[in-house]
Amino acid sequence: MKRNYILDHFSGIDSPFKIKKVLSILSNFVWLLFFILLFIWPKQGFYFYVKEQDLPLTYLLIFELTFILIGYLNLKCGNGEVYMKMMTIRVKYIDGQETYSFNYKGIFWSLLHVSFLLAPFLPILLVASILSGINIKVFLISVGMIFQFSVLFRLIGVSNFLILGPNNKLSYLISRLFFIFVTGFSWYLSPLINPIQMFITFHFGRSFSEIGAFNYFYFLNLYLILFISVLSAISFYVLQIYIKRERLTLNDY
Amino acid sequence: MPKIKITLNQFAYLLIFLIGFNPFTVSAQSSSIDVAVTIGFNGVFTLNAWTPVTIIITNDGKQFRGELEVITRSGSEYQKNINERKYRQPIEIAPKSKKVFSKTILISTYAHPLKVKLFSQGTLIASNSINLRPFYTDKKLFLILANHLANDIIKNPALNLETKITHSRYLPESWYGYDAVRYAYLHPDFLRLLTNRQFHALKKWINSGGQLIISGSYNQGALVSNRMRQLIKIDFQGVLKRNTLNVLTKFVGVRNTKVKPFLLLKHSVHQSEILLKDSSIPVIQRKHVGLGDIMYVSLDLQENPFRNWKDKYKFWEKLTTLFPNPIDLNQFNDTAIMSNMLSAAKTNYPSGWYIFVYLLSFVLIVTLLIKKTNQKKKGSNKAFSLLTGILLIYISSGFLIYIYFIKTNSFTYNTFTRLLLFGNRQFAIVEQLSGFYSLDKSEQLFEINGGLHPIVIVPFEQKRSDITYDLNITEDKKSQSIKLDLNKWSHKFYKSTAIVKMPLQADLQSTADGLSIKILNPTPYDIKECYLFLNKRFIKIPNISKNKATSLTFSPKELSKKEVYIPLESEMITQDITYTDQNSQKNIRAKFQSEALFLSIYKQYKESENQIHFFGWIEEEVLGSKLSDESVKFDKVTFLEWTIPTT
Repeated sequence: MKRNYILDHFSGIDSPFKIKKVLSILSNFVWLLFFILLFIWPKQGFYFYVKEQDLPLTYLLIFELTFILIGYLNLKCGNGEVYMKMMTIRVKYIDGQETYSFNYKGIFWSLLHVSFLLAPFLPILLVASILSGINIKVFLISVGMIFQFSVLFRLIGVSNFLILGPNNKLSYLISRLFFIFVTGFSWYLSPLINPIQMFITFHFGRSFSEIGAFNYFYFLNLYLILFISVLSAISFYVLQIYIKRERLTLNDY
Repeated sequence: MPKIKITLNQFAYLLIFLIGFNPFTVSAQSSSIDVAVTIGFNGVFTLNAWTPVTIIITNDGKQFRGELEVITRSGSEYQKNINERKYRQPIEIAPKSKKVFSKTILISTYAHPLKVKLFSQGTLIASNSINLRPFYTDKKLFLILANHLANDIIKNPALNLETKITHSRYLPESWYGYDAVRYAYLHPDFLRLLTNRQFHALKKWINSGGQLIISGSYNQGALVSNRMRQLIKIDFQGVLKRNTLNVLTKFVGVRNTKVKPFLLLKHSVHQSEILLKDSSIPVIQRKHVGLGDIMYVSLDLQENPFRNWKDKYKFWEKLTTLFPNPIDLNQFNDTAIMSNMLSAAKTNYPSGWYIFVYLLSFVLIVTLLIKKTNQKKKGSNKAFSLLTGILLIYISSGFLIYIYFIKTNSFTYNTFTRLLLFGNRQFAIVEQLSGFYSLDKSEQLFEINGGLHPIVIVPFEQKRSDITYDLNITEDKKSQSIKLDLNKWSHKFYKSTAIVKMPLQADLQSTADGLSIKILNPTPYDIKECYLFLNKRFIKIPNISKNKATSLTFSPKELSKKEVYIPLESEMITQDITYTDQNSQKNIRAKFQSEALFLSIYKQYKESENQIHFFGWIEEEVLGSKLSDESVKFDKVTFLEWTIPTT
């Protein structure tokens, strides 16, 4: 870890909620989803679908698309590609001296930011759920899943950022590969933790036993996700120690 | 306090005891319970008909509380269309006792065995699987309810019926258990052997259109019994000594035979029609009972000389010809009705425009506020606060709309009841089609009032392989409930039949001046939007009010009107009933009507002669039903179809 970029990028006063670029992307995504929803709006009445025993695809398409858009945006946010100030280090002036401390509230604000990114999509998700007749439990689980995977993507981004630094090609590559793995490849290897498969299962009202049994890859992928979470936690911990040390050295400096 | 020491061994024993306690008790109970099953009437059943199954459970152990489950299957494994019908009943058997249970089930194939299972707290205690192949017949049955008749007494190939004498134990406890029975012969002495439920089932079967032969008995006590009086009332006018079967041989058309002297019973049945007389003594009398008929023969057919009469087989054959043809209430196709029911289902999308405005306004406001927030001006912070507020407002209001919509629209049902009447028979067959529509996986319990009914699933446009037509019914002696199990975005239709008293009376008079009809409606129902189907035409007539008589006359000119092109006429009828008030009965009826329905009626009745058909709508529920989730709103209509013979 390099002292310079950590202090440069992890301390600051800029609120990530008002980052121009993020808000612009968010606005575009909302318009995109709005038009897609209009495009796939069920052309017939409920009666037609019930008679045909057909399911309008609004829930499936809109939720999967939202998951991908939000997930990718969070990955970029975590990786420091959209904005840099992470508000993880607090700068204080005690007795005229600049001191640094780990900002625990930063984690809370980070989660709130994930929620903030999700919020503009919720009215569209609600309408999509109405049109597909999705029950409240499934709706909440689905939104929870999007949130959970968004946090995961942000974690992998932050871990990359901490270890490899900003504007690192390897970091860029690793984060994208992970994203593709979670959304795509795990479909074949461990469908039980593949979010796309989960949405399909919810949409058609299937039981989870239909999408596959627990297998070697399932556990492997669970371990992978666990590993990333642990890695992120360790990274934060290291960062915290580093800040303490830095504070001393800075104070000494 | 003294310390309690437990060694490892003691602990292990204790653990084994605690873990093993329940299975041991269950296995102990299963060994003390025996299940014996008799299918149909003394081991004979007709395919594709409701049939009684008698289950005798012997409990040698302690008190048993559990559930009895009878399972039949239909379809083929090769075609992957196996459907199960489960009939369940909570049961209780005292220690060291035996109990008889009677279930009425529908068996449509002998390819799958019948399974009888006994559960206690979800654990299988005993089961019995019966191969149906040895017991089936594809003929209808001639049932003999008598103590001393040989099984072959009515054996007559000309009748093309399977004759079966049965022990009273194997008789059904529900009226539709006689579904496979074409005719039944009852000796009065047999009546006392029936349980109350069996007797009421027999009586209801006759009201539903069953045809029963009752013979006289030298035991006059049986003829004056309370049960016999509920079937027919007999006036006793003495006996006459005869030494020839002259009247019977003439009737059958065989040579007269001389027999030992016997007693001909001089009995007169109330409100009956005499079909055969020996001088002035009625020998065969017929009485309409509900939609069915009872034939009374003033001879004891269990005794000589009839018992040894060599032409008795021909007599049975001739006797059955005296019954009128069973009332043909062959209805028009259910498909037209089910299609209408589906289109009338309450489930609907929220108005597209409201949702569009909601979303568009949201997207526009959010875009505007994001733009304002992005501007490095004074109002940026304010715009951001406003953005947060707008997000919260739209999310919470959207969520409320969503909850309301899902709660009110994800499950709905409607019922279409058909009352089928014939002449002035006072009884009606009620056929209730119940359609259930679900946007989500749902489980509900559905009950139909009025006792036990034959309930079947009517397959309609199955387009997904995950939708099965399994039937799951829990019933006790008086009621039954269907466990509805619907998949996402699917429908299911259930059909049930019942018999109800419906004392509508019609008096027809055809003269040179035209046709006059007087309809008396003592029922508690108003009949609305009535039509007569006459001379291949629908003629609109006024509403028939309850507890009133309505007279209608048609001049010869009106009756001789040319046949109208029926699609135009049915269109006129459906247009006549316009969509007015959102929730009015009229509107609901309008939704249920369609050109297809009227065309179907037209096709059904256009060839019928010497009959007038009456159609009308009743707003009240005749049978009534209940869903476990009482908050679900539903539509209901009753359509009356009344066939009035003109001769």
